[in-house]
Amino acid sequence: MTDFLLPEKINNMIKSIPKPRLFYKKGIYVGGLFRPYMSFQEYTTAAMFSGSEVITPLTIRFSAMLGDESTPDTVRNIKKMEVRFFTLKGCYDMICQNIPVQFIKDEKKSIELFESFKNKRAFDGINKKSFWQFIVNNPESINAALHLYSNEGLTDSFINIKWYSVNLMHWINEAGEKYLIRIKWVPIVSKPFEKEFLTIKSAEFISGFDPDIAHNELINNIENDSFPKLELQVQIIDENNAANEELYDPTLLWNERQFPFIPVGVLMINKILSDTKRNEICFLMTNTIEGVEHYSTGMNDVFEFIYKLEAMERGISL
Amino acid sequence: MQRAQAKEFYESLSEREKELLAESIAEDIYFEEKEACKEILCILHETNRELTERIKRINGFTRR
Repeated sequence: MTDFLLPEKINNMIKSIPKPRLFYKKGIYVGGLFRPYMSFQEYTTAAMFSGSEVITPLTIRFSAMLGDESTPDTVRNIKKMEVRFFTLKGCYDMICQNIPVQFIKDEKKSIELFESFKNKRAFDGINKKSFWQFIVNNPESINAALHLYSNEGLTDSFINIKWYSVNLMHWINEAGEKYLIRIKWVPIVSKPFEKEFLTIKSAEFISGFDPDIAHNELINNIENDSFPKLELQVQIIDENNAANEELYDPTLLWNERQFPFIPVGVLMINKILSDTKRNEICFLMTNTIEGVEHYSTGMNDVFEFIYKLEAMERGISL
Repeated sequence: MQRAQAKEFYESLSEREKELLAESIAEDIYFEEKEACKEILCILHETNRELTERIKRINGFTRR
């Protein structure tokens, strides 16, 4: 090789190849709008919740944690919905998943948990042996395990399932009073119908017949102007009444009878976005706006660290 | 507390959903070694006895 510039050109070419994500590799970006039903200024100063006249544009990435681009949508998986609200006072990221609770709260166990999502490569699927051994060794994870092995973990849709925030948040009002918040997104369907649950067999059939079924459903709905809608609901606890440690435990749910979900607003998805530019977005729990504060816990800090590290590896500026 | 919530979640499911949940776990642990299987069933038993019975029935453990 006599061209001394060629190695540098080859190096530049290699650098320009996008680096893969560590997990949540298969996903789709869509755009939409959010509008609250009423003002929530009693609880938060966040402008996007200040009244029904405020419409906030947003970008969403729907994805699945385990596997890669070729993994069928109907494999048992932890699916994720990341929303970035483009508010007048900056970007606010809301990260949700299809399972309402986390497996562990102690971040020291995270590596052991991640090992249970490794067959040949990290995060390529549930390793049955080490997954169930992890549950036996860490009984606090049984709640999340049952949710994952129920039909919440085996789905063929991004838009007809419920989504739950992965982290706790504080809403802060003008007087500086804090409220602890948990979030849920519920699909709004005009004609509710009894859908047959996926079984292991039907999920396997769909895996071969239409491996991108959740992606295709979303795309078809948008292309046919049948824009999917999700309702934002919140559980609110005045921080003065939130002394109980269990309220901060990510492996536990809040009692819905004690803390009912309150409808806040509606999100409408109306366009498909190209992956090329959107892949530069790094959704972070700590990206918040005035009136909203991320509540930091050990496990969430681990995930936040991984997201940041991964984004930097992919050459994305945070 | 996690067990109590897992129990409550299981009990909130419809009969069909309970059966599908049991099937999913049963399929996962079918080829596990006997001791590992026992441990898994033990922890599920502490959560809900009925779920364990369903899994045992599906995998034919009761006849072993």
